[in-house]
Amino acid sequence: MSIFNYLKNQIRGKSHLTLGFLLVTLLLFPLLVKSQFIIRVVINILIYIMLASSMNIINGFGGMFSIGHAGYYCVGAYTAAILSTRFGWSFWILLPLSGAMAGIVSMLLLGFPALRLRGLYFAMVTLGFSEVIRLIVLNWITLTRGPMGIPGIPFPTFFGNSIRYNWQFYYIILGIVVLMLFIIQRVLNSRIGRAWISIREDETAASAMGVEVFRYKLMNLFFATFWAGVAGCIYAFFARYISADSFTLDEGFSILAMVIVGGQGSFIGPILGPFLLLTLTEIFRGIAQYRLIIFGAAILIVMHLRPGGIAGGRMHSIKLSNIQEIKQKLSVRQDK
Amino acid sequence: MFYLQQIINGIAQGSIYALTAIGYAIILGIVNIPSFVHGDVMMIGAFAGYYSVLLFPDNLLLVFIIVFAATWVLGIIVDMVCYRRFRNSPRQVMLICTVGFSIFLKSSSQVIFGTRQKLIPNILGNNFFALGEIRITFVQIFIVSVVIFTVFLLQLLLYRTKIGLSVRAVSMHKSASALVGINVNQAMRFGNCLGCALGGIAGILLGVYYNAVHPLMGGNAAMKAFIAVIFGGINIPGAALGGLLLGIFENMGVSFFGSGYRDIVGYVILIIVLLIKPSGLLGRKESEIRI
Amino acid sequence: MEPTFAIKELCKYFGGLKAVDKVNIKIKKGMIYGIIGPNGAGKSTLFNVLTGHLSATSGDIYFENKKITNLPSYEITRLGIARTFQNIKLFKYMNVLDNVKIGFHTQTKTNFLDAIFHTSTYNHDERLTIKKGLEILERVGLADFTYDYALNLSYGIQRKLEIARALATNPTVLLLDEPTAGMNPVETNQIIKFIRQLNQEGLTIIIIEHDMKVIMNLCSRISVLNEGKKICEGIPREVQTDKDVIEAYLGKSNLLKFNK
Repeated sequence: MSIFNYLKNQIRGKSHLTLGFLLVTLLLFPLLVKSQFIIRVVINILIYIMLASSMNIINGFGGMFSIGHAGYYCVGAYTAAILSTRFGWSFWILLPLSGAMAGIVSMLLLGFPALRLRGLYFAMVTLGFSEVIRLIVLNWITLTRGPMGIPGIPFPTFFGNSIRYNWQFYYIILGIVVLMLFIIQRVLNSRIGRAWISIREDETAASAMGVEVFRYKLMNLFFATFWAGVAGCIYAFFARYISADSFTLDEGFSILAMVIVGGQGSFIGPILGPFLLLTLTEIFRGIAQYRLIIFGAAILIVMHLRPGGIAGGRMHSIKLSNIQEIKQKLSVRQDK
Repeated sequence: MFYLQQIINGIAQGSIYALTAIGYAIILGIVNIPSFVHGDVMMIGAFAGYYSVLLFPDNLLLVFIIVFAATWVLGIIVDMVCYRRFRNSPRQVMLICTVGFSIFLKSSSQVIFGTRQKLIPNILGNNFFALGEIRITFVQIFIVSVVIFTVFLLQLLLYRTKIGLSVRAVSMHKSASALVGINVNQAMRFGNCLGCALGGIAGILLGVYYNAVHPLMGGNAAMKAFIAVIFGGINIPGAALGGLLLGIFENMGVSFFGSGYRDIVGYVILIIVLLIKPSGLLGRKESEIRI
Repeated sequence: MEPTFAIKELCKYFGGLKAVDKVNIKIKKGMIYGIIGPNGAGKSTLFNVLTGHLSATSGDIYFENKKITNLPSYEITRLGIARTFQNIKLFKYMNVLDNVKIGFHTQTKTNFLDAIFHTSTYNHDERLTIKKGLEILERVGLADFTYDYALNLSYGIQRKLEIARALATNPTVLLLDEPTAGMNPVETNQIIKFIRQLNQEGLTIIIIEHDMKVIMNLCSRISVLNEGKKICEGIPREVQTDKDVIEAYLGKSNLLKFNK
């Protein structure tokens, strides 16, 4: 796998150039590409980047293993759908609200009951949670219209203009994703992020260092599922129709595949994973079944060849203390 | 009377759950490998059974032998793909591999077998015994008998053969077993294949019970197996008890709340057990480490 | 003077196994107190109960007259009791400085909003962790390894890092679980000097050890555990010549030979 290392080094050496290039491409993208289909694919990728980042916070930084991501996603989407179609709430308010709803529901139904469980057991409970959410959605017909789903989710409005075109959506979602990545980056590089990583590495040692393990796991769960809920809201307004079918266990497995392939515990992993897997499935376009075959095989291949994923897993989790950063921080103080 | 009927239905369904749970308990408890793929192994067993029934509709025994053999071989494949290389890696690696293999099996099956369910011809007929208002169908008796018989054979295997002894020893203490000369890897592989084969039998029994097999039937069945094992304890009698009780509770629950909520019964039991006694009804209390 | 640490009738049973059986120990402030005993005597289990990693079956622990039995471990660390582990539990995929930084968790306050907006609390906390982290590394003698990954360090250095990390939590009592295990005589002497220095700076130290030289050199009082029970307590010379202690370590038949 030295090809990866070679590429990585090349990119790292000219990081400003690549970043600049990336930024320009992202900003100009809808103007350059006229195909609506491709724009929609990219929007889909962006939504999955949110979901993969969300799962990565739990699996890669919280020391827990969650596979039930469809559940949090579902709560967010339905919150947005119900409140917008029935009460006319605005997209912008619903963004953080769906996130908060997903966070609260998962804390209550998953966090408090199940967080003390070890790896496999917690993972299974997240699956159970995901299915319970889906079943409730299917059966609580007065709230969710059951299997008929919720159609007619309105266009979001931006200063009075209604957002109708894919390219407009693209910029909005791009902005939200960039904001999310920024916030995640900042939280990870702080006392909170360090506490999470210490829990991931060794819970006993972390608690001996004064970290309130249970509380921080709850915080991790809330923070992560919040973003999954926000992704759900975005999906609801983009697809304009949702139903329980989009939130099966397979959804959680797909997101897991993206996280694993991209590299769990890294920062770029959840960006690379969705990009790679979703473009692959568009290339091998066919029925949905083929998509999952590729995902399954991708997980196995990555596990056998490079368990850290493409981005190389844990090593690159946070910006590790380096000499420049420290000198900078200390010198700022001396100036004052 | 109505409730008695539900209990009888529950026993029949529960015995299938019990068999699934026993297979899962062997893999999880004895071999200590987390497996996500058990449900899909059961599904493959069910399909193997389906095709065998088409080929040999008169020879049920042969059908079961084929199913057993097919899922045994599948167990070997699972071991090669998910477990063999990773015995010394962090456990999460094996878990993720089983997730990947499960996704792969499920979706490949949908492509190979088609996405619609396939109906298994009703070879046992629709006869039933009637005791007053209660009906016990032939199928139900057949299923319970097969499960009892299989468990009986399993007990013989585990308690009267050398390999069975190895498997039990490894389940209790891996390193001690290695020290007394047991081939731990071989025992774990055997245990894995045994668990898978039992799962295959459970799969075909599920197919017989519902008269249908479907590529996605594995996920649900695996979750039930997991819940049963947690409920009853990670050992064979516990798994059996857990499975039976789960079947009974599910059927009672369905009669009260409607069939849409069937699966919720299982999850509620799961949460309650995990909160109150995570080791299960018949499980041993592990040593605690508080945080 | 009231003891700083009082362990009263402490029991920890695992089903039928009595790992710690009615242990009574009083430790005064500023002492270096040793706990010795053959393997399996329950020393580490005792530590685990003291620091909240295991719950006590019965009995009580008092720290500065406050009952701390069965408090969660992070709470106990907050009270100023820090520990190292017998099996090194470093954060392997982080560098030395980041390992130490975790120790400042209880002394910092950054919450989500602080982290996102880089408020003054955040800046203050980051500066504090870096500055004090470097200070501790300097103090322990690990400054040369500041940016090395913990898993790449040699065994002796890893043990020092464990102590450094525990010091970061600003403790008044330090529990050391076999700090010199696996060290050569030179490293052992360094650790002895270091522990003595920490004690002179005001730290009460409780130390589990197998190396008799370390115990005899450092400790003012020693308790001996065997099979969960305390079988002897006193100053080093008393413990060294106690019959029960010798029997516990060497076995009865050797004792007979000794008496002849």
